[in-house]
This record gives sequence, C-alpha cells and structure tokens, in this order.
Amino acid sequence: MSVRLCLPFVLLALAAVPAAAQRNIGERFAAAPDGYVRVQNMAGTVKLIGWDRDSIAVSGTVHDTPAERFVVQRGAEGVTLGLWDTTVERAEPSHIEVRVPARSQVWIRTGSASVFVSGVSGGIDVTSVGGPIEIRDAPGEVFAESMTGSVILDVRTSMARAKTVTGAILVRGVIADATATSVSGNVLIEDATLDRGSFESVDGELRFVGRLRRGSTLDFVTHGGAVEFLLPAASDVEFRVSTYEGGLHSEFDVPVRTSVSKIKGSERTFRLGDGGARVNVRTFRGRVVIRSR
Amino acid sequence: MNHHLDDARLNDFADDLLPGPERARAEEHLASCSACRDTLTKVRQLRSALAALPLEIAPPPDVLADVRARIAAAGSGRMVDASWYARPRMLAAAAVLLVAVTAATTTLVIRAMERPPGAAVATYGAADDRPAALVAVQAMERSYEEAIAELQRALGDQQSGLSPETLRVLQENLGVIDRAVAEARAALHADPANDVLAALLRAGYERKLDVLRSVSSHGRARS
Repeated sequence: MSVRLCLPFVLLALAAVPAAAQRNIGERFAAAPDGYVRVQNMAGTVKLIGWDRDSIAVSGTVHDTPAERFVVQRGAEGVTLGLWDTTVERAEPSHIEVRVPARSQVWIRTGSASVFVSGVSGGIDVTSVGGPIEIRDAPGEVFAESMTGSVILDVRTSMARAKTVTGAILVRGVIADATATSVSGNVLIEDATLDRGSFESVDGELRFVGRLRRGSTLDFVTHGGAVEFLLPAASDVEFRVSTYEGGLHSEFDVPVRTSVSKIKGSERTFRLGDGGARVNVRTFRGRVVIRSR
Repeated sequence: MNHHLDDARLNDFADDLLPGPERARAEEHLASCSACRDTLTKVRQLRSALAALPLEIAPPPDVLADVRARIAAAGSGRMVDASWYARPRMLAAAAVLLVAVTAATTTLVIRAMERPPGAAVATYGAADDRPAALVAVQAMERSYEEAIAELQRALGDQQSGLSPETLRVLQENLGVIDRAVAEARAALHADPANDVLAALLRAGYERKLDVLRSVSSHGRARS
C-alpha cells in the first residue's frame, strides 16, 4: 500500500485516539434553579460561580486521558460534569469554569485542582486531596476539606465546616456555627462574626483576630500549637483557659483566678469588660497569648 | 447534599436495617456528603461507647421495689396487659425507672465521650473520682480504638489511590496525632479525673478518625 493510500487511515486513527488530548469546552443548557451540580477534576482548577439564571454554562480547557473524557451528564435532578481517571499516575491539568443557578446544591471533588466558589446560595460541599479551596459569599451551608491544601472561607452562612491535615485554614465573614479543624495546619479566624465556633489543631496554631460577638461561645483546642487572640482594647469576654503544661500571657490587666490540679495542669478564668462572650481554651502544652490591639 | 439523611435513617443505616434500594440511595448520598458521613461516624462511635458500658446498671433499690410491688398488685394475669401503660401510677413508676437507668447510662457515655468545658473546675484533680473516671476513660479509648481499627481494616481492603508524597505527609501527620494521643493518654491515666486531658485525648482521637475518613473518602482520588 502506498504512503498516499495509508495517510487517510493514519489521520483517522490519530483522530480516534483521545490520548491526553487537550481541548476547549463550551456548553450551555437549562437547569433546575435548585438542582445539584457535581464537579470532578483531578488537576488544574475549578471555578464555580452562581448566577441569577436557570441555566448552566461550562467552559474551559480540559485534558482528556486515554481512558476517560471530560463529560457533562445531565439528569432530572441535576448535572454531573468533569473528568476522573484513577488509572493515570499524574493527571494533566484541566481548567474548568462553571456558572450555575445560584440556589444550586454544589458538590466538588478534586485531586490537586484548586477550587474557587462564589455566588452560590445553596449548600456547598468541597473535598480535595491537595488543592487549595476558596469559598465566598453566602452559601446555605458549607463544608470544605482539603488534606494538604489550604481552605479559605469568607462567607455569610448558618453553618461552615473546614478541615485539613496540613493546610492552613482562614475563616472570615458572618457564621452562626463555624468549625475548623486541622492536624498540623494553622487556623486563623479573622474579622469573623460568629455565634458558635469550634477550632482545633493538634500541632498547628490557632489565631483569632477581631471582635467577639456578644453571647457567642467559642472553643479552641490544641495539643502543642499556640493559641493567640488579638482583641480590641474594649472587649467583653469571659475566658476559661485550661492547659496541662502551656502558659498564659495576657496583655489585659485583669485579675486571673487560677485552679491548679493536684497532679498537674491549671485552669485560669478571667473576664474582660462585662464578659458578653465566652471563650474556652484547652491546650496540652500550647501557649496561650491574649493581646490587645 | 440537598437531602441529608435524617437521624432515623442514619441510625437504621448503622443498624443495617434499611431495605436494599433505600440503603443503596443512602450509600450514594454518603459517598458525596461529608456532613452525613461525619454524623454516621458519630452514631457508630456512640454505639461503640454504649456497647462498652456495663450490661446491667442497677436502678435505685426503692424504685425497683416500688415497680415490682405495683406489678404484683396489678394481678396475677399477664405481666403487661394492654392497658398497664395507661395507668398513671404505673406510668410514673416506669418513668422514674427509665430516668434512673437513662441518667446512669447518659452519665457514663457523656463522661466517656464528651465533657462540657464548664465542668472542668468541679472535677479538676478530684482524686476520689479516679476509679470511676479511669473506667470512663478506658471506655472512651476502647470506643475510639475500635472505630479506628474498623476504618483501618476498611482502608486495608482498598487502594488509597493517593500519591506517595501525599501518603508520606499523611503518615507523618498520623504520627503527630499518635504522639499527642500518647502524651494525653499517659497524663490522663495519671490524673483520670482531669477533664481537660480527657477533652484533649478525645480531640486527638477525633483528628485521627478525620484523617482516616478523609483517606477513605478520597480512596480513588489521585493527587
């Protein structure tokens, strides 16, 4: 067979093999205003934005793998889109931007892909192995977990949960019930208005910067990490600080009542202002520092 | 995400009581809903803690005698007839018994699993509580160790799918947790009534469960 005769077959064969093919995607279709949207992406980025339309628009550049193609599957109650191939050792990055009805219920899973979500008023659930996660605006509730990536929540919501193993966590906004936990990552709560909060790290540092809401109750627990508060000079907080080996340093000149265990450890209680908020701190050896700003 | 499993369904799921299709739907939901997975784990931990409790908790003797007397007075027919529960005095006696048993059970479970921060002053270093406190600590440890072992068994049966680098980081952090748990445990065994140490030990176990659950849920992911 001559080269001239073979060429069309070769071209056809190449076109049929999607091996690690990069391609642009662009698709728009009608969607339920409060349906579910599930996005999966192993590497690259996922940007998901809620908008005031009953449609979903997907765009970006994706890398199909030899075994899997980027797909958009529409169902009666929602849509699943993305690419997830467990056979590849290291996925090429796909960059996906998705616009969804604001009230959608969003679920995102990534490997190392970063995730950014804004404008969604439905629930948001994001899990990632190593990608950084950032969620903004006013979701109904939010759950964000990255093993080694960071998590940023800047939200107004009734319930927010953030978890990491090593990644840092930043919590901002207005949240009725906030929880942030890590193993060795630092947790920063900054300019956040919270009713209830629970913040834990085994070895990471916990830092609260801002004003405590009257009537709020916040718990801070670390094993070895330090706990630091940077509070306005005129703060109304009742502190209960319990440590086994850690020390307490406060820049506020108030009397501190100390109870000492018969064996070891101590609990210190003191009040700033009229004690409108309650803060409980427990550490094994983490130092507790309370600063005035 | 938009249809979380309610408490009854999670309990039925934990008890393996959901019929096939409903169980499949629940499993599908749990696969994509971290919040419900967390709640399910807590349900299982609570059950483990309950299972670790003594099988019999004697109610106050006078309450039991009162209940027996009232049952005997009700006649020699069926011990429980169709209307016994409608009698106010029987109802009151049964309620007292129920409250006594529930209170004892709840006290043990709560001691084992969760201590309110505000309770720290009352029991801080209370040496008289040591035997009971140590039992509660050991029950808590057992329940967590069982939950951890169950997760580790499940993980052993599946490919983690995580990169060697991620696995290395996770191993290091499990080591961090194990060291923290060991320190808190050693301190707590020396001072078992110390609520702060109990809370720190519990926090360490919770973080370990978190990490193992994350590995499990990301089981098929590649980083």
